[in-house]
Amino acid sequence: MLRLDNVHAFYGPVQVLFSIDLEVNDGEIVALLGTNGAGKTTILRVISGVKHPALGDVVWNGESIKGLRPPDVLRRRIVQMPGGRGVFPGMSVQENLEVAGFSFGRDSERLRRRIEAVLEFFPLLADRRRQVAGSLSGGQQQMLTLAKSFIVEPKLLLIDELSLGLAPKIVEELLEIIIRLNRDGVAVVLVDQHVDLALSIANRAYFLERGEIRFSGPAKKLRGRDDLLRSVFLAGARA
Amino acid sequence: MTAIINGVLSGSAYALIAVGFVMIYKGSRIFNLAHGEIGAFGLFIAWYLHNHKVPVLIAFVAGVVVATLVAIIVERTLVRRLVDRSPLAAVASTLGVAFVLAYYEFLQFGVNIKTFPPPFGTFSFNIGNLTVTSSRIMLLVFAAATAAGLAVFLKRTKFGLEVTAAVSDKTLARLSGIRVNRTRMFVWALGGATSGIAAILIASVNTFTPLSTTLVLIRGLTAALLGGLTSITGAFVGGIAIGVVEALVTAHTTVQGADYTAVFVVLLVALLLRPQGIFGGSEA
Repeated sequence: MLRLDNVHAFYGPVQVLFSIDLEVNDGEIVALLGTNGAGKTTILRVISGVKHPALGDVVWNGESIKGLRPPDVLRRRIVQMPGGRGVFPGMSVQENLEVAGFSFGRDSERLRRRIEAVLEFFPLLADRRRQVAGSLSGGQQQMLTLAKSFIVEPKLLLIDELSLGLAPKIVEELLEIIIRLNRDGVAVVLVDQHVDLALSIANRAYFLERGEIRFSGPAKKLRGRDDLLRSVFLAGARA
Repeated sequence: MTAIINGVLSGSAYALIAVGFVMIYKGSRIFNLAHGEIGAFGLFIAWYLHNHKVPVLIAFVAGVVVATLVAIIVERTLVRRLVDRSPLAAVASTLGVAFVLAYYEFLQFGVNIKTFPPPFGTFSFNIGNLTVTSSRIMLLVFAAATAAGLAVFLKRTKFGLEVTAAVSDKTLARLSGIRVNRTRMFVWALGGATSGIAAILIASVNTFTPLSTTLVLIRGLTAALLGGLTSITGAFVGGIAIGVVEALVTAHTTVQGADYTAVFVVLLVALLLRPQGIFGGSEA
C-alpha cells in the first residue's frame, strides 16, 4: 500500500532522516516510536507532502508520490492529523469541517453529505457545530481534528501525537474510534510518545533513533521487549 | 453639514486605499508599504496610454490590470520568499518596492504635476454651496462597493475560508488541501486591483506626481488602524471618519497642518480607548 524507500530528509543543512525504509500494508496500524527529535513527525510530513525528501522514494499503491504537494497527496485520500492543535481556532466547527473538504472542489453536495455523516459519527460535535473551535475543550478539539480527517474518507490516516495533553479517558474514546475506523479498512500510521498506548493498538512498530530506524517488528512481540525499548529511549535521552 | 459631506467624499479616497491595504494584511499578515505606489504605477500607465489617444475608460482598465500584475509580481518574487523566513524583511522589501516604482515613475514620466480625466464622464451638482463632481461621487461609490464586495466575498465564500485558514496556520491549511501560495497571490492581486482603482480615481479628483498616492496611503494606513486592521468594514468606516475629521477641522481653522494633526490625535485617542480598533476582531 505505502512504501518509503531509502528516504533521506534535511532541514536546512541538518539531516534529520537517514535511509528510511518503511512499509504500511492494507488495513494495518503501524506505530512509529522514539524520543523527541527521532524523526517520527518528519516521516509523516514526507508522506503527506509537507516535506520533500532529498533522496529516496515514497510509493503509494505502485505510484511514486514523492514531490507531490499536500493537496495532491490528500486527493489520494492520505490524510495527516497534525500533532498538537489540528483545528482552526477562529472558525466554527462547521467551518473547520468545510475546510477539511476543500479537495472536493465544487462538489458542495458531496461535502454536505460527508459533513452530515461525520457529525452523525460525532454527535457531540453536531451539538456544537456553530461553536468557535477555539472555545472547545482539548479533547473536543482533538475529536474535531479526527472528524476533519474523516471528511475525505481516508484510505491512510497519519496520526501525530493523538494523546498529547489529553486525559486518559478521552484518549481511550479516541482510540476506540480509530480502531473502528481501522476495522472499516483504513490503514493508520500512529506517532505517539506513549509507547504502551501505541503498541496496544498497532499491528507493527518501527523504533526510531536520531533519524534512523533502529528496529521494527510485530507490536505483540515488541510489547514484551523492555530491553529494546530501554536501549532506544535511553540512547535518545542521552543524545 | 457641507463640511461633513465634503469629508465623506474626501474620506472615500482614504477608505478605498485602506480597504485594499487591509485585504492584503488579512491575506498575508504583511504591511504592504508599496500598496499606494503599486496603484500609482498603474495610474502612470493609464495616464501614458490616455496621452497616446487611448480612450479614458480603456486606459483606466489597463491601469488597474497593470497594478494587479505588479502586485502579483511583488508577491511571487519577494513576499513569498521572505514571509516565512522574516516577516519584517518582507515588510521592508515592500518599502523598497515603493521607492523603486516611484523612482521609475520619476525617470520615465517626469516630476511635473499631472492630471487624469474622470473615467466615468463628467457631471456635477450642488448641495448647498458645495459642488459635487462625478469623480468624487465615483470615488465614494467605488469605495463603498469595493468594501461591501470584499467583505461579503471574505465572509460568505469558500475563498474567504481559504484566506482565514491560510493565515491562521499555514501547515494545517496545506494539510487541508489549500494551496497557500496561490491563495496569498490571489489576495495580493485583489489588493493590487483595488490600489489601481483607488490611484486612478483619486487622480481624477486631485493632481498627481510620483509618491503622491503613497502620501494618501499614510492616511489609508491610519484608517486601517482606526478600523482594526483586519476588518474591511472597519477600514471603510475609518477612511470616511478621517475624511470627516479633516474637513471639520479645515472648516473651523486656517492653521496649516491642523487637519493632519487632528487625524492623528483622533487615531491616538481611539486606540487608547479601544486598542483593537473600532472593528477589531471582526473578520468582515
